[in-house]
Amino acid sequence: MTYLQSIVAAGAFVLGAAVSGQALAVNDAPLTEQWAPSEWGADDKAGSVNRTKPEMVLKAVELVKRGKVATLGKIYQQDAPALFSRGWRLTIPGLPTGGPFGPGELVYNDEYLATEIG
Amino acid sequence: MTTYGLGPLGVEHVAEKGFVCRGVLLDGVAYHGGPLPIPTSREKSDPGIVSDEDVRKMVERQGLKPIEEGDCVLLYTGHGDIWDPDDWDTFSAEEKQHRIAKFNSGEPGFGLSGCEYLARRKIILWGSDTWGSEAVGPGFGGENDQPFECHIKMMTQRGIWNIENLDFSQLLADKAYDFLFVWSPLKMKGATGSAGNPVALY
Repeated sequence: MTYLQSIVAAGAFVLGAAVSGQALAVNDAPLTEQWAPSEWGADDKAGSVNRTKPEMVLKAVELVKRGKVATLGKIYQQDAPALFSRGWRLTIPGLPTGGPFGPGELVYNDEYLATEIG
Repeated sequence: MTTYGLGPLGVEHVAEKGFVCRGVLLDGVAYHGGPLPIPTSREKSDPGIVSDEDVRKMVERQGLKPIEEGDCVLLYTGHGDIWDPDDWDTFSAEEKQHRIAKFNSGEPGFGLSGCEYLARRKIILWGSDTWGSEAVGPGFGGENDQPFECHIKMMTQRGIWNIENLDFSQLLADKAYDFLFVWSPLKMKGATGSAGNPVALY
């Protein structure tokens, strides 16, 4: 077959398969189960955070009894675990990034961040 | 959706409100008697799968008020201690590589029954000390064959968000299992999620 004939043949095969009902596997649950619109309406973009009401915030504030603070994040660093193609690479461009300015020879440093997060 | 973002549905809209809630820390390690293992089956009884029954039992065991609307529910599995937040930089490069491979190879976490129980309780955020917060066992599945079905049924279907890779060490040391939890994604236009550092006050 010529290249063009093989393309036409392939197209006819895919079309035929769709028409015959043995289409490519597709998960239609979002449509058949009507996942949208959500309870917050078709224009909502925020999701579950819509639930938070002032009385919930005040009730949660009452849980602060000891005056203690814990931060729950882990450290972002180049050799931390990351899945797939994710990663974190931080450099200080220029070192220093800018300056010196003025009689005091002020310099400043920025972060240049290349990261893929999920 | 384009390479420049999710268009109208970026995380900046979630960030407009942010998460302020009662944080509930479920201690899976105390419940199980050791770090939860990566699941080896699809059974709700698998120790690596946190089912609806497990969630109810943990809440009761820890003497917590039942999970209710607006809560943020976080799960300590022990799997996150492979990425030891205090000692990470003391490990050799070889040790780090070994730990990264182990950490990424799967994870214990919520099974779909656990997630849907939380959804019925109308929580606003679920999370854990793992990279995905849900059970990832054989073939990447949890209670069922579909990988990441809590991601699908909680986030895509219901808009109930997930936060990963949390460090609970201070909360655990202080036995603080419920607390004021405050966190917002960064307002990054069109992003699917965000880095950040949640704050728990107790």
